Amino acid sequence: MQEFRLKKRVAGSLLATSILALSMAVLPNGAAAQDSDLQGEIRFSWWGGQVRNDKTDQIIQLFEGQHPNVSIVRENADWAPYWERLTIQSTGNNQPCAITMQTRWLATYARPDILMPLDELVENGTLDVSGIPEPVLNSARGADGNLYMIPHGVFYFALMYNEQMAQTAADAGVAPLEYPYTWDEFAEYLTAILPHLPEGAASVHNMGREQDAFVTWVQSHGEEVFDGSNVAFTKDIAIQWFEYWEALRTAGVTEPPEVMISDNSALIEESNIANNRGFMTNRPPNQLGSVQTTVDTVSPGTTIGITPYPVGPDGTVGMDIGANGIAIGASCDEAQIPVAAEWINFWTQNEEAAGIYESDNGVVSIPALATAQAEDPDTQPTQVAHIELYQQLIDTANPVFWPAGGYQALTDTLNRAYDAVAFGQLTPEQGADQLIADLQQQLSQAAR
Amino acid sequence: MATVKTYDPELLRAERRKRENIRRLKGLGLHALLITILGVMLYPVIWMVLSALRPETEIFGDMGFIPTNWTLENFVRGWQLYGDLTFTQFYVNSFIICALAIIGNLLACSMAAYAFARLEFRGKWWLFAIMLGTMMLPIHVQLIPQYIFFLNIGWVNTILPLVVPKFLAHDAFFIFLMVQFMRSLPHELEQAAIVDGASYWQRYWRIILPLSMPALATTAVFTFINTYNDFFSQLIYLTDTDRMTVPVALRLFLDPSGGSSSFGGLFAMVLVSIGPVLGFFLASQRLLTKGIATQGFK
Amino acid sequence: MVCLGQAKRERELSSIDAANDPVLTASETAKSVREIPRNRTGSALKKADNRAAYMFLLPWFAGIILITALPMLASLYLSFTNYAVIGLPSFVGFDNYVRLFTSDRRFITSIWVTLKYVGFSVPLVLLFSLTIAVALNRGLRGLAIYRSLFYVPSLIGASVGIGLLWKEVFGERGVVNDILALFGVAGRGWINNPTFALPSVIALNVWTFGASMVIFLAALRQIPESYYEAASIDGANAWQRFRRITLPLITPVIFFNTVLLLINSFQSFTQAFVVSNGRGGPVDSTLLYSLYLYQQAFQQLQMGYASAMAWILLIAIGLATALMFWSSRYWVFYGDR
Repeated sequence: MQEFRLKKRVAGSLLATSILALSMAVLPNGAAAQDSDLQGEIRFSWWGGQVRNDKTDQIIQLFEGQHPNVSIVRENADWAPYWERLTIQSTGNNQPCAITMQTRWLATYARPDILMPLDELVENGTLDVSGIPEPVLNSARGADGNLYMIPHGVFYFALMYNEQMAQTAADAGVAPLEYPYTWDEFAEYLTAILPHLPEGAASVHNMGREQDAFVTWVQSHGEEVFDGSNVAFTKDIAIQWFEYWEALRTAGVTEPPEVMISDNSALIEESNIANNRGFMTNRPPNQLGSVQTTVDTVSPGTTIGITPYPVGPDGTVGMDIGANGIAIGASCDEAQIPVAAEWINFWTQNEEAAGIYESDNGVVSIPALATAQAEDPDTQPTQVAHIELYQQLIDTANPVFWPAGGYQALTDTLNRAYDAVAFGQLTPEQGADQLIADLQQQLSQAAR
Repeated sequence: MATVKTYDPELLRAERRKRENIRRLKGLGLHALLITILGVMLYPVIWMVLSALRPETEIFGDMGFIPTNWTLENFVRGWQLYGDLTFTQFYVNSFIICALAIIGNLLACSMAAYAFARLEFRGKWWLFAIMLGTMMLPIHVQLIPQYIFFLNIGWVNTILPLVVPKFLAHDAFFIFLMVQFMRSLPHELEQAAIVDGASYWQRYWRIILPLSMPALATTAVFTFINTYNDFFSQLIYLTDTDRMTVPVALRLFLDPSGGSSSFGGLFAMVLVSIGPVLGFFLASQRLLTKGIATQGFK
Repeated sequence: MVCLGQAKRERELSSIDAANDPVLTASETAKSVREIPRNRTGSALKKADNRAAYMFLLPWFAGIILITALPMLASLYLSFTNYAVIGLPSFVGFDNYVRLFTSDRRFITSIWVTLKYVGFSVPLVLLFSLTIAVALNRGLRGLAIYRSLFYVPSLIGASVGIGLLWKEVFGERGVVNDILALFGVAGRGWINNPTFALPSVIALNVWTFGASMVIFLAALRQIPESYYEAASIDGANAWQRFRRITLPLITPVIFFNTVLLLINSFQSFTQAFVVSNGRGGPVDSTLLYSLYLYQQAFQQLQMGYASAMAWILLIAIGLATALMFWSSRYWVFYGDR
């Protein structure tokens, strides 16, 4: 079986032509006519909290309104048990017809006995993938090369910071960061800004345990994180990562280890950045809206901006991107497949639906829709920022091909390894050893 | 040489008064101590109550302990989860499951307990040991085979996997509890019934069961609490959103994956969800303590 | 345990064929040997008893076979396989067991953490619940209210919001630190510190001592006042009364509570799970055995490995319980012996 390797870079011209082509293809077509031909009932699962559930519900109702003989059974859960439940359901061949899926978890489920390969449906037109950029579509393929999900939202990674604090520092003479900046320049800036922050605030959230930041570090230094189901980064790069953050931590630039842990899993209301206790942190940009809303109530007058991760010493961009999409369960009945397909098309392509969702789970994958949202005066400014930074960075992104269990394993082992280092139980070198050993062991187990 | 004690009434009275005062002080002191301990123990709960009553945004702020802006909005908003779904549905779901579970446990466990406590049969020893043993196997590992079994008989996404095991005396703890209790009941009553020609069932239903009310009440209360709080099983067996139960729904308040969460709503709903449990417990107070008391621990 | 002794005795006695044994025809062991109904002989009675018992046990049998035995046996089989939940199990013999004890660092950690947890939780819960029960047993006014209030933490201990609550209480900006500040002691993030995370979880468990307390209270209320009065008249003070009357009389309850607490705390999962977000706390300091088992089963999808862990736990709990039962001979005082 050939390993399917992803194209690592999106050509700028490809994107441009896509946008051009799409703005002609995806035109609003007025009020959608009611379609009574489509009938059946399918189960649709997704993860999310109240806000997203609300939006999803609205979209479902919109769809059911247009297809009166179709009903969609709602199955939602919050993030943590979502995957566990999907796994258990799949064991018993009881997974839903329409399953919200994500590229970082795809490898575990990307097999024909769990998810239906979608290439045929794309080829015969049942599934409409027009407008989805090729690299994004390819990121939804499994190791066997089959397409397993239709991506509708692209997420990327960036840093959030307190704009007011940055301004104060700039006024006091600290030169602001200009992208692209290297990791060293980044550290220098954070150290320089510290004296100008409110009492007790930390410059930056300690990202030593953050897998998203680590991935960016590794890739920006020219290495790969995974090679199939094996660890592909060197011990040295891991040691340097730990040492980087230990230096910042001991200099007081980051918060103490206990706070680091609680902030990592903190809900927005409790987080340091929302409460003016921290200047910069790493949070997925699609949360910008929620963060800003919270900040508006907790510390009015503060605005949160987003900025990209640092680049490597030679300018290499390390940022990973991923996609959320919908997959079709392998246990889906023949009769239900058209319904599931139509639902996926609706979600991905329909303008009104996209308008309701407002890139809640990743920038909508069809660039034309994204641009439309960015330019729509009704769109929240935070979402606009989210989309615009995305459009800036998408060309240079460096997607990771996550093996089965990879995301879970990296999060777990990196957390443990860096926490041990931060609490003084292990040296950076021992931490790196443990990280690589544990990670390899978990990957090998998952690959069996 | 013996000394004669004189009993001076005045002195006696003073002594008695002093002793009374000391006793009263000790009583007060005890109350004070208990209240302090309670205060410390219940502080988190009090904090949660106060948080539920203050506007969402102030919960984690540096506001004072006592809210300045009282509001019921958390309860209102929390009750309405999203769309047409409100907690009413979840409570109904939870209560149905709990009610059925209670009935199941009461019937099946008391029957099994009757056999263990009052009847002689071959293999009783082994079976009893097996029953105790079933309490000791971690549930996470029974989970997958059980799920596959229920799936194959088409029970997933119904409440059957949650309820039918109760009717099959799956909760060995309650069998154990009832056995303890039934053993302490005097044999004479049953003997009288036997002499009158009563059947086994009649003895069980008309004599032993009514006398075991306290144990039954205990079973009912604890079954309610356990079933009500059983998050994981309900999560995997009830996938439809409108079949969700209260603990599963409460988790939805805590989504870190993208939206903001609703702490105020969470606390409000947690408080409301404790209501039934506390109510149930209080309502059965007398039966409960009587039940545990006469367990035959003597 | 009460039923052990009594059951054994009853079995011995019932094996005596009362109707045919000349010695016993006029026996006064009416309490333990039932009167024989006129229309039945001894062996027919036993058969009828057998049949009836099996009928009464029918639901339990069905439950055991379908819902308990099958999954238990399945999990035993799985413990000798590699089973990734998705896909089919493949037989590997004792591999899992060997790996657990020889090359799994975190497994050993989880054992230590659990032993610490049990070693502190069980005595502390017993201590608190007994003490408060004794205090409440003095016929205080408002006994019912106190009892209910002390029980409240038990009611919410298993709830979703509790982990959050506890994190707030023991967190960096929590009330524990506020109280310490009153005494001039510097606080820290207790719950996210490897040294203090487990004590925080133990505290959470001990916080819910209400259930044990209710049981103790009920048992205490059963001790007749006359015993205490007699002792007072003889000049015994409070401590002596406690030690010589109360304590021996409630040893069966202490035993019952201890066995239950042991079985439950060895399997403790929810609190550590909620407090540490399912991770096992900073650097595995709250990695209870069940939590590690859960991670292996549902996050790493190593069902076979997890099954092996489950069976090891079962055996351990079984041994511990058996030990308790054996030791009960020496310190549990049943009034009827």
